[in-house]
Amino acid sequence: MKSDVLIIGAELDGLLAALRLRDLGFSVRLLCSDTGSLSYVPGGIRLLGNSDGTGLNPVIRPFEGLSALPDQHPYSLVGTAAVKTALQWFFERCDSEMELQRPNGQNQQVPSSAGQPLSFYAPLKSQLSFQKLKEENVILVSFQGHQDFAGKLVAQELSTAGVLLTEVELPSLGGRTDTVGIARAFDRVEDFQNQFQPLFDLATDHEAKIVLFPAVLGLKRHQQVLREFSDQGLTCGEIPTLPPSVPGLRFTQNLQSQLAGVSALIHPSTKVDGFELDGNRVRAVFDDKGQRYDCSTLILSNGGILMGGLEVSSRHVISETSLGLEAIAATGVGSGTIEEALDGLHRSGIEVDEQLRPTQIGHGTIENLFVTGATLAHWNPIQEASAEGVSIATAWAAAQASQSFLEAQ
Amino acid sequence: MSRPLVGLPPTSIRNAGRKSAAHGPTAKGPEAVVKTMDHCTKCGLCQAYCPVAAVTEKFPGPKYSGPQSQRFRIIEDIKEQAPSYCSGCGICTTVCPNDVAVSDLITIAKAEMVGGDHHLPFSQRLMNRPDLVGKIAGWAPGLANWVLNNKALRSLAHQWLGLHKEAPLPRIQGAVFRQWLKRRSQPDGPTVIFFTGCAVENYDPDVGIAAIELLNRLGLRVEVPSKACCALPMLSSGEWGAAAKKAKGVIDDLDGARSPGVPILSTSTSCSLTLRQKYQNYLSLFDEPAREVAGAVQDICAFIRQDHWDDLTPQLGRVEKRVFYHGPCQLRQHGLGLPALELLRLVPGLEITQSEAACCGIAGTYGYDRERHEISMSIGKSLFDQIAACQPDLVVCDSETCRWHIEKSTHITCQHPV
Repeated sequence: MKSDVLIIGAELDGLLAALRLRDLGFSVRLLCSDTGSLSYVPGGIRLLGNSDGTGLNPVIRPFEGLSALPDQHPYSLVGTAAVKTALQWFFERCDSEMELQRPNGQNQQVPSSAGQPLSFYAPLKSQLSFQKLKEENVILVSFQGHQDFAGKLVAQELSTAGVLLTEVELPSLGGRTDTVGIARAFDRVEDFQNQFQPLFDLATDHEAKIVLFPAVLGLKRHQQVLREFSDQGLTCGEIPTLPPSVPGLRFTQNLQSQLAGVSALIHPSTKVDGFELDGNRVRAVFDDKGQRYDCSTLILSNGGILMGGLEVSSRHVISETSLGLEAIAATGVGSGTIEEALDGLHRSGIEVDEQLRPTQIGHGTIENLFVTGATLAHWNPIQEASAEGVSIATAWAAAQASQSFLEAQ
Repeated sequence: MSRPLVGLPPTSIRNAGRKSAAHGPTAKGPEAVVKTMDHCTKCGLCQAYCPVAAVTEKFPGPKYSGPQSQRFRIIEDIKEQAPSYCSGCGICTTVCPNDVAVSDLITIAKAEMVGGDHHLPFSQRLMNRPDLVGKIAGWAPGLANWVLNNKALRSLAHQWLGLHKEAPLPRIQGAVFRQWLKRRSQPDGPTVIFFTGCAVENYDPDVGIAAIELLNRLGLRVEVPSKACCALPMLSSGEWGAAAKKAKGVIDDLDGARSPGVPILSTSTSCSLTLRQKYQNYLSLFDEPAREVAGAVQDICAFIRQDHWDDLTPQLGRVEKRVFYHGPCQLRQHGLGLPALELLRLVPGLEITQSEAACCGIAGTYGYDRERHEISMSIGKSLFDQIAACQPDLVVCDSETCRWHIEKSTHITCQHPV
């Protein structure tokens, strides 16, 4: 079973690298042990929200922030010009169904699941910025019994930030109290007029033009749900819930069906646990059932410490879990405060060269192995608010590097 | 420039400290399966992907019925019905980021809930023996099919036996496959073993015949030592005493007929999953023959993809047809990708649409039950809608009960990839 490109992991970076390489005409096989972290993300694209990690100095123009990052940061390795090209490709290739706002070069502040400002380069159309929210009267909806949405907290934070807000609790929709259940109930609503009349009346009473919901506005019929409300003169916004994230699930479904559309081969429940070298090239990998997969190039996108792509031992040694590659432990792991330790865990990972090839395997470089996303060292997706941006940039770079390698053969 | 590789082993590196060896959902006894609940972080992904919880409130979802309830089950006997609504499709296990064997946990809870074979109703125990039913009915297939298609009798069965009157029952075929096999002259090539399962023996002989014709064309000689059912219906409904006996019989049959290195092939993704994983996960069958058999079993399409890709390609003729392919839910647990789809793509002229549905809803005998049939129809709706929109000449699917369900619900012929 031979493929031009083998990709380990179903994270955003792995899926995008697969899409790019299929578009270029290579045969691609994705080996994934589970669904990956996409199902948890709030939905939009974060490029660089904070440069110093304190959250006190939000970055307004992310591209200016990129050039100030340390040399070993994945963005620096890929290079600002390539980051721009990667994003351009992503928006052209993937945006049609993802409902992202067109980026204007500046970050927008949108509410997090706790109502605090998060920096997005391209939020979802349903993620309304603080700026926009402050311009209108707003109604914040929560559903009875829905535990994974902190309506009170969100209301408090938004009011403090200067949003004129009215809270309303609606009876649970379709009898469901779980996030995904409510989203599916939205898919099934036929008569919005009838179902949400009290809400429409309330909006008229308060002269409100914006209604904020937890992010449950439909799993499959999301666009139609938004249209139903806009027919009533209302703009709908979505505030992230606790995981799983409905926008994240929409995102995942969308990418997976795009991949099926270009005949990328996806292997769920496949855990890679070893590889075979031929000189300084990877020839094949093995899964935990002993199945062998031959490849010409290999892209490792199996996530970081949060998704099990990296793990830490009780002696603070960090290791990569699929191939057993050497990883570095960043400062802070196993010492200092909890914040420092967490930061250290995020910044730990595999060190790579500018083509994203690991530099610390034994004593040499493997020519056809490229690492992407959270598996890489020297960045912290949470503090920097950069998760999707780094995924897109490194997926692009790994795809380019794979292409060069394959074409040179 | 690349630096030379010094200090690396010349060929193969196995990752010794891997996570999956410690708590992956493959091949472990029930105690180890139950222990995986400790890895649950309650992220809720299994809930989000569960096709049953998506359509009914009777099943609270895999997180609640699996790891969450399990914490209480180990302290006290809790009265519950929920696990019996799990269809056992296993999607929860495949999406879990923390290697919790969610679906196996629920099936084990189901068996404990049943509390022993004798507590199961007669109708369930009858459905658990598709090989026996098929054999008896096979003595007089005409009569049997008349009974199965008779509306009045099906209504009675609906009332008394709990077998839903609309459930997609297969046609009884009698010993067609065995009679054909007796007359078949096979090439003298390398030997493979074919595990038929109840479907090929009694209901879908054409699939077995096509499989053997295909393997013969690839130069292989096929032996068919066992006629038994793999015991999956027993395992998934909690009749574990009988299942253990059956499983041991199957292992003896297969192991006895097999020399080392000979693969055991199956055309049923659910039978092969049972043989590969479930005997260990549920019944703790870890002795030498059981491990040998589990290691040798392969899905027929995965086997051809792996070992006979180049032999197959030149033999394929042109087929101008529009085909809709649905990979059954159990195939995900195999971790094989979609081998049948890869093979179908080799066939010149085929226009293939890939299913976006995770599950057809029938889940073996789940959708046969009076109470659960409607749930299974709701689960399958998305698939049936896709098929209706595609208007294919043919639907292709690897699993037999899925095929019967799809055919009955869409009125389009549904065949196995071979």
